[in-house]
Amino acid sequence: MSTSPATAVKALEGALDIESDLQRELAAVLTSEQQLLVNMSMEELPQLQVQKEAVLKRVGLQAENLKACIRGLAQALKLSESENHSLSVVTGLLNERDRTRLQKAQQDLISLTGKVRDQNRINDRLIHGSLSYVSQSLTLLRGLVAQPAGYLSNGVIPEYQKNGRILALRG
Amino acid sequence: MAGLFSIFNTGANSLLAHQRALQVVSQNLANLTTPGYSRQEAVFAPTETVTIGKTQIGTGVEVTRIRQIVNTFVEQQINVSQQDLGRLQTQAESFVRLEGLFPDTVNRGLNKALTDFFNAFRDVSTSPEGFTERTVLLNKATALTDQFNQASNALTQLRRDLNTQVSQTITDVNNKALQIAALNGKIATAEASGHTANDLRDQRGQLLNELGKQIEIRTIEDVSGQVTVFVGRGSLLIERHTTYALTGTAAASNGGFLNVHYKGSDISGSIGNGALKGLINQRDTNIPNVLAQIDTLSATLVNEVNKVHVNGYGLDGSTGNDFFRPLSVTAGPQSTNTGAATIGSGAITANGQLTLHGYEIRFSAPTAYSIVDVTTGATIKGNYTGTAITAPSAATPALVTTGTNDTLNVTVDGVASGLITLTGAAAPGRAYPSGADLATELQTQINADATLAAAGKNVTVSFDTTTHRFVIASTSSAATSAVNVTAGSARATLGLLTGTSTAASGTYGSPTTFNFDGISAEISGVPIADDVFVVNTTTDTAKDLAVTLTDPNKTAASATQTGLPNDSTNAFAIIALQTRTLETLGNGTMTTYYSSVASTVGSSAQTNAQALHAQEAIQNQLDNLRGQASGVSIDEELTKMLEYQRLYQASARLVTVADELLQTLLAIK
Repeated sequence: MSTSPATAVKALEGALDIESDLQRELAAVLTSEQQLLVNMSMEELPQLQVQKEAVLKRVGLQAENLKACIRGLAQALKLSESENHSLSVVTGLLNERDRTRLQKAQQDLISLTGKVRDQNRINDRLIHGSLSYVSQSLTLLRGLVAQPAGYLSNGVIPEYQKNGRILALRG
Repeated sequence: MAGLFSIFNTGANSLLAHQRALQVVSQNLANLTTPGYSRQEAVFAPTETVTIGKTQIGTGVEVTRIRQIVNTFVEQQINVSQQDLGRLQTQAESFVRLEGLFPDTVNRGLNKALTDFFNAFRDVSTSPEGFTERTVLLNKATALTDQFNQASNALTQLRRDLNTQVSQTITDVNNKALQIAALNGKIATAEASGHTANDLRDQRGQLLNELGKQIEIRTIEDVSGQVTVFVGRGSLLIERHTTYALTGTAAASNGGFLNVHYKGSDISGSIGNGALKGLINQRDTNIPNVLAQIDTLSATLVNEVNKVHVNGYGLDGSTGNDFFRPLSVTAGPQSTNTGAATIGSGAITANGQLTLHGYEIRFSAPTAYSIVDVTTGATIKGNYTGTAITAPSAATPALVTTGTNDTLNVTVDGVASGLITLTGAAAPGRAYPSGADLATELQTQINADATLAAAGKNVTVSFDTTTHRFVIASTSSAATSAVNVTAGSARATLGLLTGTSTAASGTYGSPTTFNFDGISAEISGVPIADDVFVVNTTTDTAKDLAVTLTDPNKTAASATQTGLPNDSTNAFAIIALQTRTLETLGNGTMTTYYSSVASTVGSSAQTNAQALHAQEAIQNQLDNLRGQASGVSIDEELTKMLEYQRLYQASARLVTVADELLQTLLAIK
């Protein structure tokens, strides 16, 4: 049993609103993540990751819901089921009032998603930059662990260690 | 687009701050093994916000400063601990050498040589006519003197080595002072902008600890971050970027060794800690004390053996021979004297009276003196020392004839006696076969005088068998202690006519000969108040100890000429010295005295080692305390890095998930 175009438009409109809300929520999580990364507030990072994972899960589910709504509208508009219709194509077939309203919601979502994606890329750079330093630090630490102590418990430096500062590590 | 740029700018700032924070971690790790390094940490603060419309938007964070984690109290404690360590370690090094010189066992070193010497005399006593035994004795005696010579030379060399170390330490102190002063300037410049010069402060802290290990210091940091360093009793070593050098100045009063001078003044005595204190302690106190004890032991050996030997007879009939090179008097002015008086070389007037103590003739005015036994701290006992006479013997006794040469008048501590009459006899008189018998008679009759007895005045009288003099000494050690022989018919017979009366204190007139405790010394010229003349009979005795007897046949084993060649009485008397307790050795025997010296060195070394061990434990504890505040824990850093890695990897995975989802969303447009 197929739905009417009006009902399908309403469902799609609702799905776009939910997706936009989720994108805003994700943006907020990513902003928090950036703050935690730059402040090296590592103890708060796991909690944020749980929150971020939940939001992403909902974003993924909502994306599937959005696709289903687009397919429902395409069916209501009697479009071929064999084609994979985009939101722009489907909304282009609606009346002007519905089309204008849905295109506005679509643009808002695209803009919001773009911003979230940029923020995600910044965080990605921060994380990979941090990982790079951590990897170097671990290499250094493992090397130090493999070496004998630089000086004895009484403060005496063995002859073989008398070479000034041992390392000068830069990134 | 401005919003997007803003986000990227925020990201760039944050990344930069993040990099700096990690560089601080790297700095901590790189200096994990650098002594004195203090852990640092990045301090974050938000960057300025941007106002868009009514909303304030953050622009990220920045590292405002790198903070040094330092516990000032612990740092100060470490500096003090370093001073103790420096002193104790320096002393420990020289104690090791000292202990090597004085093995505390009977079968090694000086102790064995002493035993061998007396055993050789024992062999001579068994076969007094044997040339071989006598030759072996001289060889053993030479071996013994060699041991004393070597011990003395080694101690002197040790003092010289310590003196070289004093010079090197002074140079090191000055060099470190220059480096600290230079760092003071750099720190003040660097911190003028409001930032803390962490690494420079670390370097300076490390240098201050090293300086403290060399010499006791006190430090004050001013508002500009520069430290002022004091040494001794408030002598300024470093003031901001200026230093005041210490110098080592050879001091005549200290055997030519270097004293530490600051702006022309000697501050050696005010240096309370650090390696320099340890070096000065060992060089000027501990080693000289050991050397003085070895000198006392060798002087006792010489004096006691010679006193007996000189009265015995060799196989060739000779007598009056010293076995060892006899003692001599060392007399000289203190280096601080300013008067024109001089003292002669001095002489020994009665070997039996020698205490082997040190003496000072002190002047409180150009004409007022007092004589003090430095070892006991008391003034000497006033005495009258006679001139040499022919020693009474059974063959040639001293004759006291009633009415001819039997009276004396003496004054003791200012009290004049009545007419004292010796026990004589009608002509040819009563015969006294030894000086000791006559000394007993003299002492008995003087102390029996009613006037002196009523005043509580007593004397002791002795006859020195080496120099053949009578010595009448007061038993009082008060400053007024004095004895004089003023009249009497017995004076010429007893050598008491032109002898010398020396009071414990009295009036000086140039020249004056002072006789006390077997020593004679003449001072002439005009002294002034506070001038001091030092007199003793033990200086360099161990260094100069030698066997003076070269002919084995002159070894005096026999007590009498008539007993030759089989009499061993004199040899037995010398052998008895091995187990006799002697006043000059603190009522110990030669063996126990040497053992005492060796065990004192050993126990001092052990005490020092225990103190060093305790100080090292304290230092370790302080290091741990410092480590808790300022150190870098490799475990802590490793754990932290592994945790960071795991979290970053999880974040990176979610970033990828998010990016894929966002691409999906954008794809459905």
